[in-house]
Amino acid sequence: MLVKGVIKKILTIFIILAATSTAYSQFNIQHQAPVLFERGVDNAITFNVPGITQTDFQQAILYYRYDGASSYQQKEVQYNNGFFRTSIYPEANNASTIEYYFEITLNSGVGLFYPNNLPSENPVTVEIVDEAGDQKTQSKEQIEGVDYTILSPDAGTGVSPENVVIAVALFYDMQSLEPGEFRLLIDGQDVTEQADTSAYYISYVPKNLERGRHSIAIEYATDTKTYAVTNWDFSVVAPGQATFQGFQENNIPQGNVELSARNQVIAGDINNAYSGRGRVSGKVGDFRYSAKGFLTSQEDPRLQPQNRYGVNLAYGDIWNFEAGHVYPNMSQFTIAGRRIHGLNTSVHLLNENINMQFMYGELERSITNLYDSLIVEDVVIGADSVVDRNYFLTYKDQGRGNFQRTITGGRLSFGNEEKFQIGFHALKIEDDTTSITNVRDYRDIVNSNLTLNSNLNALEQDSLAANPEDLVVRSGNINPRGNLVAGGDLQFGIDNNRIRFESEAVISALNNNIYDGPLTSQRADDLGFDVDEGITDLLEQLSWLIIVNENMDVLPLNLNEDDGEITAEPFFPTSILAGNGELSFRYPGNSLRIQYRWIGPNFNSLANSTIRRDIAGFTVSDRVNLFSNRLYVTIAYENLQDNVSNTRDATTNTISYRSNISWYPVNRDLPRISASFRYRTRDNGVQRQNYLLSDDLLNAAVRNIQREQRTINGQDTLIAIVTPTPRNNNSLNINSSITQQFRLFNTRNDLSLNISNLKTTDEVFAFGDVLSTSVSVNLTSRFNDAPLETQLGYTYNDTESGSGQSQVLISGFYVGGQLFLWDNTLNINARLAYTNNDSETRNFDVCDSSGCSSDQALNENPNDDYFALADESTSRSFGSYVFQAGARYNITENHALLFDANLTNITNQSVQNDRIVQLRYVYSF
Amino acid sequence: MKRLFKYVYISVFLITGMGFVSSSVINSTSDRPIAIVKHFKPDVNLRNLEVDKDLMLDPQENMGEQLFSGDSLITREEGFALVVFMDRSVAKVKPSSMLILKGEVGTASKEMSTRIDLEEGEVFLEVQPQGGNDFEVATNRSLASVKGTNFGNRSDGYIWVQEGQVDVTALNSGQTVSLFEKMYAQVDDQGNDIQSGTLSDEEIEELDEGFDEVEDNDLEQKEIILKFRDQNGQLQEITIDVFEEGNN
Repeated sequence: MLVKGVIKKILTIFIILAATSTAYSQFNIQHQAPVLFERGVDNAITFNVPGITQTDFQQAILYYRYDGASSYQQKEVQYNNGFFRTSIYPEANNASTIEYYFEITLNSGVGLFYPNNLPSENPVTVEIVDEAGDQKTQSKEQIEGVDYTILSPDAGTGVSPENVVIAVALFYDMQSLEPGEFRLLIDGQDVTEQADTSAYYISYVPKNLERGRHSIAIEYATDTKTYAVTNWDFSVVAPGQATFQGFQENNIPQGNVELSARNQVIAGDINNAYSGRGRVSGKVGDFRYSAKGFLTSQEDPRLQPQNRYGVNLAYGDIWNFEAGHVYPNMSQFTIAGRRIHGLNTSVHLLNENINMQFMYGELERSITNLYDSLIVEDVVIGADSVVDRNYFLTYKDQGRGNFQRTITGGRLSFGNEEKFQIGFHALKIEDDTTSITNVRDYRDIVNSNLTLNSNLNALEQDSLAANPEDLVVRSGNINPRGNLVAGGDLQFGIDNNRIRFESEAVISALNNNIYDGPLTSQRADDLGFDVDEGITDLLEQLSWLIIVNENMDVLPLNLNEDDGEITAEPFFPTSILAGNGELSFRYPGNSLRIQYRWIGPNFNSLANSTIRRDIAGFTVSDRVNLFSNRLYVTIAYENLQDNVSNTRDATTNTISYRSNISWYPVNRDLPRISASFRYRTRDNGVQRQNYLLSDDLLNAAVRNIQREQRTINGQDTLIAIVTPTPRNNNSLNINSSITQQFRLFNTRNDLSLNISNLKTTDEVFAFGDVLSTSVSVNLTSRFNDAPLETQLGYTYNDTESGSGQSQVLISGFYVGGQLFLWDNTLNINARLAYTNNDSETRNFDVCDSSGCSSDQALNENPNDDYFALADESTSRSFGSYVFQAGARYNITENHALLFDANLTNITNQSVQNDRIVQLRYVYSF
Repeated sequence: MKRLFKYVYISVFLITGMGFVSSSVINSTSDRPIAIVKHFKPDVNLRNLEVDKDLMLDPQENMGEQLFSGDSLITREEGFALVVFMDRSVAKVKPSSMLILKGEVGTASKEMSTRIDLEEGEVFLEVQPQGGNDFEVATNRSLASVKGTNFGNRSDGYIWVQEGQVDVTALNSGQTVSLFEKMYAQVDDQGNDIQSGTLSDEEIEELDEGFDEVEDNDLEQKEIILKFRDQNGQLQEITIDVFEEGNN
C-alpha cells in the first residue's frame, strides 16, 4: 500500500514533468487548428516546427480518432523544409468530431507533442461538417408520391441571362399528400413568393441572376417537415464562356522521381545526406496500380526503416493488394494505421457481401544488441577483503536492440456494412526469438560468437561458467513477447443507414516472455505448483497461436492450496476483454450518438499502443444542425470509470461535459466561427488525510494517512494506515477559432485566429494545477496585381504547471511569402520566424518537522513528509531565429530544380548556428 | 314497353353518370397548363375567346407564359415561338402561323393527350416518346399521330420526318401512311389522297431552314480537357465546361 502511494505520487510528478519537458526543448510545434473539417474532402493539416531538420527526428505521427473512440488511428506525416503536412479525409460515417494530436519522435527517443499537455487526453477537437455543396440535398428527406417534369432550364445547361425561365410541372394525388405547399429555392433562397405557382405547376423568371452556376430546388413543406422534391443545377453564361469543373482522374500513368542532396551543419557537425524518391501510378479500366519508394543515405540499422517502398494494386471495389511498407486498418482494438513491412490485401465479393482481409509482415524489424565487454566488480568487505565478484554486461552506445516482431492477421465478414454485417477478426503478433543475439546469462555469450569475455581471466570465466545466472545485464534483458487479439464485430443500419449500430468485442492475450515456450508440468513444478497434464497438453496445442506460460500478463490459472499442495486450475480472466458498442441516429437536423465501452486493464494489442485501458462507461452526444446546416450546436456528456476489474484500491470516476457551437456559412464573405468548452472532473472518492500535518500542508503530503482504532493484544490502539492517493481535480478547456476572408487593397486575405485555454484545478494535491493559454493568428494574403502570396502570423503559449513548479512562455512571429515569376517558371519563397522561449522551473523538496531534505536529514517517520517547492529556481531564456528560403525553377515541362536553405540562430545560448542547404531535382512524367 | 323504358332509364342513368365522371375529369385537369411559351420573338399573340383572353406577349413580362387547352397561339410576320409541353415535347412555331392547342394533362400521373390544330403556317415538333399518351397535329386535311419523333408540319398538309415515325391520315378518305426518317407526305386539298416519298439531306436541310430562329436557347455543356503540369511536376487534367449553342 505504501509503495503504491509513493509510486502514484512519483508518477504524478513524472507526468507533470513529462508534459512540460517538451517545452524546454529547443523545438516547439506551432499549429493553427482548422475551424472545421469538411466531410468527404481532404482537409489539410500543417504543423510548423522552426529549426527542425530531417535528421533531428525518427518519425512524425498524427494520431486521430472520431467522436472520442477508445483508441487513435495513426498516419505518418511527411516533412518538408520546416513543415509537417498531412491531410485528414473524414469518412462518410456518422462521426461529428475528429480529435487529433501530433507526435514527433526525436532521434534521442524523446517525444515532442502538440498539444504538449497530456495530448491523448486533451487532443485538438474539430467539428466535422458536411460538404457545403451537398448540404441542401443531404439535409432533406425525399418526398414520395410526387412526380415532376423539369421544363426549363435543363439540368447542367447554360442559359443566357435574358432567357432564364424556371418551370416545373408537378404530378401527384392531392388526397394522399400531407397538407403543405411547394417551394422554389434558388441557391438556397426561397423565391416562392415571387414565383408563379399553382397546384401542379411552378414557374419563375428571375431578374438579374448573376452569371455562374446556380442551383434550383423544389421542396414540399408541411407544418412539421420539409421534403425534397428535386434539385438541379444550371449556369447563367454567355456563349463561349468556360467554367472550371475540377481535377479528374486520367488513365495516363503518372509519376515522378526526385533526387536530393543535402548539406547541413548541425551543432558544428557537418553532415551530407542523399535521398531518392519515386512514385508511379495509373489505371487501366477498373484496374489501378501505384508504386512508391524512398531511399536515403540516412538509413540506419539502429532505427526502424527509413527507406520505404510499396506497391498497391486494386481492381474496382473487389480486390485491393498492398505490399511493402503498408498501413493497414482492421479495427480500433487491433490495428489502425500502424506501419508494417509486409502485405495487406482484401477481397470483396458478391457486391461487398463477403469480405476478406489478410495481412502479414514485420511490425518491427530486428535491431542488434550492442554489448560492451564484461565488467567485473569486486565485492569488498573491510579494507581489501574481496569476498565475491559481480559480473555485469552493459549496452554500449545505447545499443539496446529489439526482436523482429511479426504480425499476422485477418478479418472475414458477411453482409454489407450499410445493411447488416457480422465479422470476425484475429491478430497474432510474436517476436522472433532467433532474430538477434540476446544475452540472458553467461551461456549465451559462450555459445555465441561474441568475444565479450576476453577481458576475464580463466578463474573468472570458470566461475561464470559454473554459475551462468550470475551475469547481470545492466538495463535489463530484452524479452520476446507474444500477443493475440481475436474478436468479432456487428454492425447494421436501418432507415437508409440513418440509424446505425456498431459493436466490437475482443479478447487479448499477452505474453511478456515467450523464451521458454508453453508452460510444462516440469516448469510448473519448478515454480512450486502442479498443473494437470490435460492443461499442459492444451497449452502445447495452442502454442502455434499464443505461447502461454508463467510470463503471461494475466495467467489464466488459479492457484489453490490443499494440504500444503498447490494446484493450478484454469479460469477466465475478464480483464483481458474489451468491447465497444455504439448506436447513432443521423438525421438531417440532428445527430445523436450513444456509446458504451468496457476495456479491461489487461487488454493489449501490440499493434495499437493508443488504446485507453482499464476504462468503462458511456458517452452521449447530440448535435443539432440549424439554418440549412450552417449552424451546428453540440452537447455531450461522458461518464467513465477505471478499476473495471476491481483490482485497485480506489476507483476514479471521470465525468466530462462538452459543448460546441460552430457557424459555417457557405458565403465566404462571412466568418466561420467555432467555440467549444469542456469541463471534466476526476474523483476517486478518497479523502486527503494526514493527521501529522497541519491543514496548510495537508495537500502537499507525500503520504495519505488515516488513523484507525484497532484492538491489538486486547488493547485499543490507534494505528496509522496509508490509504490510496486521493484524486480530485477538474479541468476547464475553452477553445475558439474564427476565420474570415476579406478583400483589402486589391488583395484577398484569409485571417484565422485560434484561442485556447486550459485550466486544471487540483483539490487534493497542492502541485496539481495547470494553467495554459495559447493564441495563434495567421494572415494569408493573395495579391491581385502581383504574383505574390504572403503569410504573417503570431503564436503565444503560456503554460504554468505544478502550481508554480514550472512556467513556460513561448511566443513567436513569422513572416513569409511566395513570388511567382516568368509565367510561373520560377517560384521564390522565403520565411523568417522568431520564437522566444522563457522558462522557470523549480524542483521538489521533501520536508518534515525537522526541515527539508535539501538542507538536512529528515526524521525517521516518513508519514509526516510533505512536498515543497525548492527556493532556488532555474531560469532559461533563449530565442531562435529561423530563416528559410527556397526556389523552384521549372526547366521544362518535365524537369524542375528546387533549392532550399535554412539558417537557425539561437540567442543567449553558446550554440553554433545551424544551416542546411538542399538541392532537389524532380522529373515528372 | 316496360323493358324498353327500363333500357331507356339505364341509358339515361349511364349517360348522366358518364357526364358527371367526365366533368369531374375535366375539372381535375383543366386548371393546369398543357404547355408554356419558353421563348418567343415578337410579335406573338395569345388568344382564347372562350375565356376572353387576348394577349400580345411581352418579352419582359410573358417569358414562360402558360398555355391552356383552347388557347390559340398566333405568330405575326416576324414572330417566332418555342412551346414546351408538359412532357417536355417542343413545338417550334414559324412566323405567320396559327395553332390551337387542345389537350389534357393528368394530375396524379404524367398521362396526357395533346392535339395541335394547325390552322396556318408551319411548325417543327420534337415529340418525346409518348408511351400511352397521344400527340397529334391536325390540319384541315391531315392528321399526324406521333410516338416520339422530330418532324415538321405545314398547314397545307405537308409533313416531313427528320427522325422517328409519324402516321399520317388523310382526313376525308381515312387513308393512312407511315413516314419514317427522311420521308415526306403531302395530303391533297380534299383530304383524300396522300403522296409520300423520300427526301435528300439537302431537302431536309432546306425544310428545316428558319427553325433555327426559334432554337431552344439553353446552351449545351461541352467539356474541354486541358492537361498541364502542376507546381510539383505532376500531370494534371482540368476539365473546362464550355457552353455552346446546341444542335436542336
